[in-house]
Amino acid sequence: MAIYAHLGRAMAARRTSLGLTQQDIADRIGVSRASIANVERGRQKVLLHQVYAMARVLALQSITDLVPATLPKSDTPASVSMLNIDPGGFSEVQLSDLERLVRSALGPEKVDAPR
Amino acid sequence: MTTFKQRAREEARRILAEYGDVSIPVPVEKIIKKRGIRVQFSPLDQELSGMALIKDGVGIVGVNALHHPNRQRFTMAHELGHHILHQQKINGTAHVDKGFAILLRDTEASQGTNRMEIEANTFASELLMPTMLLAPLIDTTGFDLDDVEQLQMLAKRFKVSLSALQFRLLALS
Repeated sequence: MAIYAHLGRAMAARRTSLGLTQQDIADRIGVSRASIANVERGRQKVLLHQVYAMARVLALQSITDLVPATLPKSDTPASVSMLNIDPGGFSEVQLSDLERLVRSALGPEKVDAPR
Repeated sequence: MTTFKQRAREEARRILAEYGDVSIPVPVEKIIKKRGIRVQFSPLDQELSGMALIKDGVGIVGVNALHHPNRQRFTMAHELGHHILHQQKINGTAHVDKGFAILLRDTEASQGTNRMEIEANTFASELLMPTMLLAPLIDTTGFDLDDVEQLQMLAKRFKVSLSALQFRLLALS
């Protein structure tokens, strides 16, 4: 997903500018160097609390220096697939609201059911 | 020419009959739920009224919770209309409704989406203001169809908007 590639690039750029190695970051967060390498390549999905930890060790004020404020367009087709409608006539907000409505109607237990 | 409208009205009467004894205001939410369809109220963009969808066999009626309660009732009845009349079209594909007003016009009734909307509106109109419950109230002497105050009181009893009632009365006459 584009969001993880975005995060990885932002992390790597900030780390390099601070003159730190992947091992430095790994030690301070408490994960393996390989994990940091994978995250920087956008191959590993990080947990939310880890994003805050990364912002902290990279001396950033806010996690929004690492992640965009809203999900990139390419990461939102889920809303279309759930509704299975032509998204043409609707705004992104309308689509995500409708998506949320359908998910609520179906109940939380079915939201992330594996296929 | 208006047979498809008659069919929509007949379907609404059938649904009411299946529910059982109905008095005004017609309990539209209960009628939908009794049919095993889920009703979900959720804040939506002002432009959107509601939606109908059958997802993996589960019927869903979505309603814009930010609209006036009378409007929400009409939306529910309209979406139930899609479930009853257009089951195949909403199976797996969400049908989203954006305002109903312009679609009440007969001139665009010929085919396609507009026809679907007119059918759903006709269904909703009959469901919320059934002929058998409405006719006795306006046939009484002293009821003046041009008296807005009287119409407003009648609309209140049915929990519908004044315009929905006026449209219904046009169809009745």
